[in-house]
Amino acid sequence: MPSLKTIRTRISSVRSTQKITRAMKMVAGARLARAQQRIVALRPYALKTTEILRVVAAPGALPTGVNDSEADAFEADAEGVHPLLAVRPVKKVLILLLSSDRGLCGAFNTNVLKAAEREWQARKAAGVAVEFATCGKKGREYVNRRGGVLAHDFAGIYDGLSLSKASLVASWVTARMTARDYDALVIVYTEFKSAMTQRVVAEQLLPLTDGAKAPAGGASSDTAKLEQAMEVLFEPNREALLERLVPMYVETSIYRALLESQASEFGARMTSMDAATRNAKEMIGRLTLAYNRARQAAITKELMEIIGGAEALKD
Amino acid sequence: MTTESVPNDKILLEIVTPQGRVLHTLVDEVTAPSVKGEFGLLPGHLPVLAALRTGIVAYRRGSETTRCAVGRGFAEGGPNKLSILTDEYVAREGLDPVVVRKDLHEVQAQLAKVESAAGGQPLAEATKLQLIQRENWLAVQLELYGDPPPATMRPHEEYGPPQSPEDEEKARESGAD
Repeated sequence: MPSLKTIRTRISSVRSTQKITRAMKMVAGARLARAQQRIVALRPYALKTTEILRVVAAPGALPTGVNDSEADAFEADAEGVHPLLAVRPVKKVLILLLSSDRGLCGAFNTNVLKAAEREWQARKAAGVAVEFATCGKKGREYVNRRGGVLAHDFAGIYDGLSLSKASLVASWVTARMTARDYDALVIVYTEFKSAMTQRVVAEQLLPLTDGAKAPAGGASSDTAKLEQAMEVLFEPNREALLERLVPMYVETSIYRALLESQASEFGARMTSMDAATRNAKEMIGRLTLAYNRARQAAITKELMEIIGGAEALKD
Repeated sequence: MTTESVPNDKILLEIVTPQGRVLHTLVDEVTAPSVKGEFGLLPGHLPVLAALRTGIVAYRRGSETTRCAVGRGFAEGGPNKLSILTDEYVAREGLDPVVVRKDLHEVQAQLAKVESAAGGQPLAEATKLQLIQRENWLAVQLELYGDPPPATMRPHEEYGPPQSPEDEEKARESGAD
């Protein structure tokens, strides 16, 4: 049986650890509430941006010289097509990987890195070159460890995360895409569902897919949208609007992904620190029982020695 | 969008920023700063979709006009509705000119530094653009407050300052539009 002193030391050490994990849990909980609020606040803005983009980029409503069909309208070489909308044969892909800077957040980073690995292998198997851009130290470490090409690491992006920070990422990405350094952009991030459920997604953001720019629904809604688009007075003109809208849409999407990723990180940390606190409590309980047993055994031993000594003296 | 019925002689004005919907009110008339100059909207206007520059939005309710500052964005208008989508918004009450002037000073110092350093890298260009946008936003806030912006303001946005009427005539005649 370990000595009384050892057990006592151990209990006190676990107790300090528990204080730390409890504090981390509360901090993560508070930050999570704020992050969730920001996600909800961003929604009307994001929806409106998508809506306006749909009106401006309505299929067939682009300058003449371009076919009505979706595929031809966005051929890379067609005249006047915005480079971020153009669909090119994909030879090089940029994976934007959103991870966390710090650990102790459960399976958050493991899951997102696994998804990134899957995407990477899938692209490699299809003969596509892959480069990475990372937000978050864990992602950067992963890319370096696995020998991937790290095109850029956006350090410190989560401190004071705001739309202007997200727009730094967005403008870097759009500059590279416009320069045709990459043919597609995939974001791998964690969507926040609740404190306990987070889902990792790998979304292709660029070139903008049909879901983003074309209205959902059949041909009738297409013509309706088209008519609606034709009626609207564009100022200064449709091309200039598109020129400004597309980067804005990219910026908003990246900002939303960063917010969701950050909220997921806080949720995962809160859950894992909560579990750690409970485990610590359980361990303290077990150790206390062991301590009491050891204490009683020590008392009994002392008593027996005294009595034994007294007996020996009697005879 | 809520389907509240808007009276025919009014406009439902709403301003949406990344922080949420900051304004939602019925007005008689709105003026917004588009990249081609200020434009006014009265009830019954044709559907319009305009790109907005950093500037001042003014709306009138009866005889009372309220002004507020907005950043770059878009104005989407129907006959009785105007939605302004922008990244910045501030009402006159929320303004502290001392803070704004201090920020403006800092941004101008940063800009001077970035401009003197070698340019060309995409990240430096992006930072410079951001700083210019921030400078414009601070200057517009001062304008809203009633303080004329400093004379060293850089040209707005990618469209440049509004052209004088003669230049615009010339541009239209040469078929540039």
